[in-house]
Amino acid sequence: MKPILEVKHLRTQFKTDIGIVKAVDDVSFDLKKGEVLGIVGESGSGKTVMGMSIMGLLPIGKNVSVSGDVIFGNENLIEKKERYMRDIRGKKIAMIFQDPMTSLNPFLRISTQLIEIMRRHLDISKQDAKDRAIELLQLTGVPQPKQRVDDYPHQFSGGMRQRIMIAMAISCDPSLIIADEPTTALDVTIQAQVMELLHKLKDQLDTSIILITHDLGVVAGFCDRVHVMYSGKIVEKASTNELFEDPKHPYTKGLLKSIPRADSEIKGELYTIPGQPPLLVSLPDGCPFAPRCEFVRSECTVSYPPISNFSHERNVHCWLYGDDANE
Amino acid sequence: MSGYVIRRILGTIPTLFIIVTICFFFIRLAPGGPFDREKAIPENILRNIEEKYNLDEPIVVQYARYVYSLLRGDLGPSFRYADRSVSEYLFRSLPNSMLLASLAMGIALMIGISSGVIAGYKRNTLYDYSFMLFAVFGVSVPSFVIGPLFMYFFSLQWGLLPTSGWLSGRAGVLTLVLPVISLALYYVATMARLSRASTIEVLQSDYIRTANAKGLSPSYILTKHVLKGALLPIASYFGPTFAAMLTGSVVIETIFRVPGIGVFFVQSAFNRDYTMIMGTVIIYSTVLIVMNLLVDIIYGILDPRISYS
Ligand SMILES: Nc1ncnc2c1ncn2[C@@H]1O[C@H](COP(=O)(O)OP(=O)(O)OP(=O)(O)O)[C@@H](O)[C@H]1O
Ligand SMILES: [Mg+2]
Repeated sequence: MKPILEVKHLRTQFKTDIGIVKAVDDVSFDLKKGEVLGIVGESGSGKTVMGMSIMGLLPIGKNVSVSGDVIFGNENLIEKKERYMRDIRGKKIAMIFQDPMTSLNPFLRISTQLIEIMRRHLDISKQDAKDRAIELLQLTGVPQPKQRVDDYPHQFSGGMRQRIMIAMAISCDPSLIIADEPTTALDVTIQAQVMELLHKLKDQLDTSIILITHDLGVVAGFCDRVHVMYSGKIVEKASTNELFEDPKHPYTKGLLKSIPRADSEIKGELYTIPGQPPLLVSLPDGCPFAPRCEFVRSECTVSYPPISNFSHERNVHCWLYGDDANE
Repeated sequence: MSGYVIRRILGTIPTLFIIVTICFFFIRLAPGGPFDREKAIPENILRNIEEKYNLDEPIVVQYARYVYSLLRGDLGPSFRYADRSVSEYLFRSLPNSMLLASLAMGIALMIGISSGVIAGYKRNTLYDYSFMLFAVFGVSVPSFVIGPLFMYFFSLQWGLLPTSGWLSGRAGVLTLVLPVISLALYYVATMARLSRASTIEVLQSDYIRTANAKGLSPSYILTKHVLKGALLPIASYFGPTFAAMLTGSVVIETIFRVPGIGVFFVQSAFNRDYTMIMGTVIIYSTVLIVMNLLVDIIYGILDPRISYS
């Protein structure tokens, strides 16, 4: 089956005072209909910028450039004009953002913010849109939706606001939802509830989801496949099971080791990957993870490792697998 | 809301009383008195004058006398101008200053905000650069330069507008044009700069990113999502600024000979005209208090997170 989204050689660069920031650097992947893809990486690895690039939300110009292909349906979104993208955004592709506390407009009622997106994309009367807004709030688990639909964002907790954001995202029945760390800003118990809601909606609605997160724990049991991102590049691709059972890239191994586990025998401090993720400006040749890698070899600092394919949609960029994988 | 407004208005009474009290005694502490400069006055006549104005009584008695007349709405006689009372002078000139200020403020709000918001929205375009250049000019050129310049070109050189003559003669309302524009220029410029900055800030906020991610049109986003947030900083600037403008703009009023209240603020202090000083202080405080209340009400209307009850 033809994938619903194909991203090919996506590059997003920002010109800044300290140099060119390669926030997304040659990223390619695809997504099938109804599939849930996890994009995992540390803070600053370019996940949000990638999502914004797909949505065409970046102010492209003198200091911001996006190149590559984003094939959605039969169209290459990268070539499309802003006017065309406005019809796609919110209707065909919806995005849920990282911080629900600041992502809703504090000056407008929830009803206004839900109705406006439906009125923009669907042929629907104001009253019908409002009725549907109440239904959506019901569906996403906002209590007393009828009474509360006209409240303002500050009258809701963070978890409730994220549910409202989700209601907004699904309001026009998009075929793709990009959820950018939808639970990062929330308390742990609320995180679980919001993930549960996404689970439920995933089964009810026939949408594909890109779940961006820095928490591999969120990925398990939700995503079909996972791509690990490091300094603007996808360094490993795997199905969720494969990734947890047999991580290949040292960075993925580190991420897995740093998930807190209830069954862990070792009490005490959690593992953390040593060092800091690199600034995405004037990266040195070689593997960007090399300075933090415990398996570092001489070739790692010389050039970026080529792709090593293990099977279909299972590959890694790491010198450790340079020779034996491609047989 | 209305309960809140009533409570706030009642709350101003003690504030005003404290201001009046402090002011009354402070003025008397300043060296010199209202009749000092008339050197030639013989001792006995001076004593007569002082007796007439009750200046010979103990200061506490004078204070009680002043508060008593104040409660009946009387600001007392001027020590300087014998023919009319302080109330007559001030309330005759205040409307002129208020008209001048309101027209200038109206222009500042309309032109300043709209051009500032557009400049912020079209940031770093030719429109933005040229308008902000004008704004720098408007902020940095003082009114005592602008006023005479305008007068020179528009009245003397081109004969388009009258130089002065507030609302009188055949020119009528045309006499308003030059003083209003000269006064407004600075405020147009500051309002434009303020609203440009706040528009840029709002445009970078997460909720505008959300609005864009919903595919809403730019004009809808600007009017519905950006404007309210961008207006908030303007509201807090508006209050005290308009209070200062309403109570007279001495420079503009002097240049264009507007019979406004501004001159009394300056002259009364020089003349040690105690009652006139008190009158101007009371008027300014009242206007300022009312403006602050107005700002709070505007905030309550703009920002749903603020509720008065
Ligand atoms: N407008 C911009 N101008 C310059 N650099 C930018 C801009 N936006 C993002 N970046 C840089 O791009 C890099 C990737 O940022 P991004 O927000 O995508 O990271 P992220 O993976 O989403 O991190 P987090 O987990 O913290 O959300 C960062 O180094 C950031 O500083
Ligand atoms: Mg992010």
